[in-house]
Amino acid sequence: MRLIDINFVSKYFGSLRVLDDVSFHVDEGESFGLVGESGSGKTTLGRIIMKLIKPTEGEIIYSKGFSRKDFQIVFQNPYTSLNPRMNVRQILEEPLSIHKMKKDIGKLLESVELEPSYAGKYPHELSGGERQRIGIARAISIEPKFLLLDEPVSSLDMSIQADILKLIKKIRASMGLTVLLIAHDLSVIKYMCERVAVMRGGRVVEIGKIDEVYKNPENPYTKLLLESIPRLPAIT
Amino acid sequence: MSKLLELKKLSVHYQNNKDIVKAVTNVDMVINEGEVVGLLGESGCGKSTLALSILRLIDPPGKIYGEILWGGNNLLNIPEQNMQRIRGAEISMIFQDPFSTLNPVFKVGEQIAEVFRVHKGSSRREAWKKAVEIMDKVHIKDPADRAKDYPHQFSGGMKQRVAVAMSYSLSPRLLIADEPTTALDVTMQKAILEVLKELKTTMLFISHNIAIISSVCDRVYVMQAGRIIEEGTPAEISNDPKNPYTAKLVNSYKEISI
Repeated sequence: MRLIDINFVSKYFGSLRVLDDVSFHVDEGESFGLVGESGSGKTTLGRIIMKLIKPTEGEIIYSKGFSRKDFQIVFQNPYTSLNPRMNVRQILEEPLSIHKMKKDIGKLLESVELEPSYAGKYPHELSGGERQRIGIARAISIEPKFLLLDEPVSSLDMSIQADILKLIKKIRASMGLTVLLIAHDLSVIKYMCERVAVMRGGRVVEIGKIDEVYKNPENPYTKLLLESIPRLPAIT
Repeated sequence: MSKLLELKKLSVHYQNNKDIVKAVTNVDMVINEGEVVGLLGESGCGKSTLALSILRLIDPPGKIYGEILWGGNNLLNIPEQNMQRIRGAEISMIFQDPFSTLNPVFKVGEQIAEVFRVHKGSSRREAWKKAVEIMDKVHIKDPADRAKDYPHQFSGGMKQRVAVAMSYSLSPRLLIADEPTTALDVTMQKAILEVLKELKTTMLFISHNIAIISSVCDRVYVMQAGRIIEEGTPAEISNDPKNPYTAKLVNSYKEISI
């Protein structure tokens, strides 16, 4: 079943066309990847899907019964997406109070593999990886159906990236979440997603099942993206 | 191969009244002429501090201990005036963030030309000509026109090309590249790595990404918590890591790579 339908979406900022006739859909329960370079429009599209901004043309159709509390976002930069003057408990309680829900903060922290004692800490006391865990905990606290992850690991070290991606996979499985993952790194998408759309210059240039896109990229830009990934030396 | 730079028991400590923070501890390192040496480690392990200490750019209360041997001299013992001649001309550095490397209120060409005017005493006209030439060398299209642009008219990748051009402008004997591609997209990353390889300079290449390090370096040092814990060729490090921390870095890469 389709959870989100993106139909012929275009977005202009002044005369600058950031999105050009983008269409695809996200099925319920799937993990969908959106890949492209800086300026390709992937974050703008994410913001439109989150209803943070409106498209200039086109529309987004959400499945029936889908309410504001059902879609949440995890931001790219764990250093600026947490309020430095709130401690972890306050950060996590804010969305709960907005949606009139109650939850054990300790348990919520455990679900992102942090000790309950983190509730009293402030963002500056946390590492980048820990902050991103708090960002995830905040997003899943009100039990959404859909999670948009906008470059969730691009500012983290390699080993922390692997930990965070594993955590997202685990949470996704346990909560049955639908995920839209935005990344410029194809490896991250490959690790997480079943389908992928490749964006360039505001357009979707290729879309398909991840294995097929990886094995037989049709668009020259997709090929270039794949070839650009640095690799480890071959085993000798 | 002759030794170009040798670090002997290099340490960097930050001290206040109560505590000492040891950012770098007893690092021994050799960079030979013509070699591209990698420094692999995660955020906070001390790799940038190590790079800055080679150029003596550690601000007080930070202190550098040990020896930095460069052309027979210990850089820690020479006067600041001489050090200024070495910075940029003999050892130069490319920083991680191309957005803050360039001054937003000066034309790109002017900023590169300044290097020639300060270090070589070139005239304005001559320095500008050299700036255009070096922009061409890092494959900036229409360098004569682009030199007149301001940094905000350049993309991230183009700015990093300018930063590479600037650091290479005086043909330094050693180039220190501190995470030069981390802020860039994969396609731009590849392009910058190719430009760096083309320069064929001796280089200390710093990164947290083992695959990027492997694609450019002849030899790699692995750093953890201020110490060098392993050294080897990229193939040795990624196929047969001796230290458990190195193994963890390699595995976490393999897990999410394709």
